[in-house]
Amino acid sequence: MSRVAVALIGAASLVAVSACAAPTVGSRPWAAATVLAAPVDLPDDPAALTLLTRAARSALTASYDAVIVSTSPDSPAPVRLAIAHRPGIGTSSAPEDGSRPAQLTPDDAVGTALPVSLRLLDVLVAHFGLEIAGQGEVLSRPADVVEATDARGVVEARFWLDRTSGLMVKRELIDPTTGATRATEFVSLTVPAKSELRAATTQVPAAGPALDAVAVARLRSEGWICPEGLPGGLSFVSADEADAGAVHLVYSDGLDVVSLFVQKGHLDTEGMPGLQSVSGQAGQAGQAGQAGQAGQAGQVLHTDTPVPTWVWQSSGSVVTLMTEAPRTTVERIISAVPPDSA
Amino acid sequence: MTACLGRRVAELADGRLVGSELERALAHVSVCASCRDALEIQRSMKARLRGSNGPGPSDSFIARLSKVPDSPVRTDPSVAVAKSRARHRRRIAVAGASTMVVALALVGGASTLAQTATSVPVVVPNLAAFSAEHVSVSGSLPEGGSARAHDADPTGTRFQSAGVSVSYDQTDLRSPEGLQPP
Repeated sequence: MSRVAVALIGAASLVAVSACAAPTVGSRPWAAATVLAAPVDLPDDPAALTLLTRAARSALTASYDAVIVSTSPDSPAPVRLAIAHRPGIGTSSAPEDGSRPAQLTPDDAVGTALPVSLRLLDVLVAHFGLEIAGQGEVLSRPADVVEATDARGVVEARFWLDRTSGLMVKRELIDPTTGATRATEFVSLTVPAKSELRAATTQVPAAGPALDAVAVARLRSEGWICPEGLPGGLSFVSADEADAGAVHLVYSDGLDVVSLFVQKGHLDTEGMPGLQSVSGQAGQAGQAGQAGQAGQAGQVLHTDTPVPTWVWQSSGSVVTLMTEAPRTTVERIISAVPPDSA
Repeated sequence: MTACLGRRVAELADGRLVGSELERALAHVSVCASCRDALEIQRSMKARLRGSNGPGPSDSFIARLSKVPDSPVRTDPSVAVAKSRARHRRRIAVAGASTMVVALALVGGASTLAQTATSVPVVVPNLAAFSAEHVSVSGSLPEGGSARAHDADPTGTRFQSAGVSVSYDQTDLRSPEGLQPP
């Protein structure tokens, strides 16, 4: 997808580059992030690509009920979710204990809500070298293991691909900086006895209307925060209209997805009492306190629910970052789009 | 059969292959199911990015954004795009009229922007709406802080909340090969 997105924005990037070029970087520090994001062309094992392509396809065509468990250094305990996928309808997901109503994400969303899937296969291919690392076993079934390696030869992800169904049944994401591992794994997987998705009480709304390359280029030329890439090898994927005059920018390296919401204006922290103010290194958790007065310079607000979120003021805009990426990546992103200094 | 296309699948989907390279790629796709599948996925993704699932890029949206002042000067601290009900009531008493002007301008009243060109809106991001948008593109599953394994009931019935029942024709059910009921 990234390749497609890059192709679509390619011409516009040439136009926009003048707006993001060196003379303006000083006033728009986020523009410098562009140079950090160019993926390196790495060789891929065709057999690995075939397996991953099959997994992406199976994720859309398979009908199944499952329980998945996710573990992360940022989460105090494993998360267990009951999910159900029906082709052409989507995926419902809910806590296994029923403590929260399930939601349905349609299959035609840009990113399908399949917890262990390849939502951005082409972005992954563009950023990592992919090869078959061996064989494994998940759910007492044989699986092929594919590794994603970065330009330094460091393995940043492993995928377990069920040999019989083709589904990706386990995924490990390894933070190349800290070595911390986030894992998501099927712990049960069954063919549904019923065709109904009774869990779907709410539906994830589709993203807003897409902004094409010309629109993005125009925003850049007018000084909107709109980096072509972000630190950590995150490439621009797409942009769309968001709530209340915000621009929603999407970045990914094929493993993590980052949403940046940009609104012109001044951040009113008093209106966000549920968020904690974080200090120290950019966005680093700790030393938290309640949000203070409106628009305190350099302040970053943070919450982990419903998705990990950071909000800050930068260059006349309010930036809202949402991502499940490692905190080290978040810190680098905030550094690239720095909060206004005191 | 020639070697699989690998990365060239994306180039083929983008229409960047020409001449004999294009002919070889198409010949290979015609006999290779894996590359055919990969090409189908690539084309599907490309169609989505082109906005085939929704309206095209909004010129009016961009025009509206262009009119939002970016001066750091803040002339009306009571103006907010979104706020809690309590704060809203409190501030309406002080400056309700100006609040309405800028709020309307930001959500669609472009004509009113001219009247507030020197005002910088005070923004309270709508995190609920934003998180829904993030989920829609990332496929992430919000945890909500309530699905921890340590407090989950392993015997609990899944999908207890009897909500909307989504039904569809049984013939739509397709099980992946080898995926058997327990």
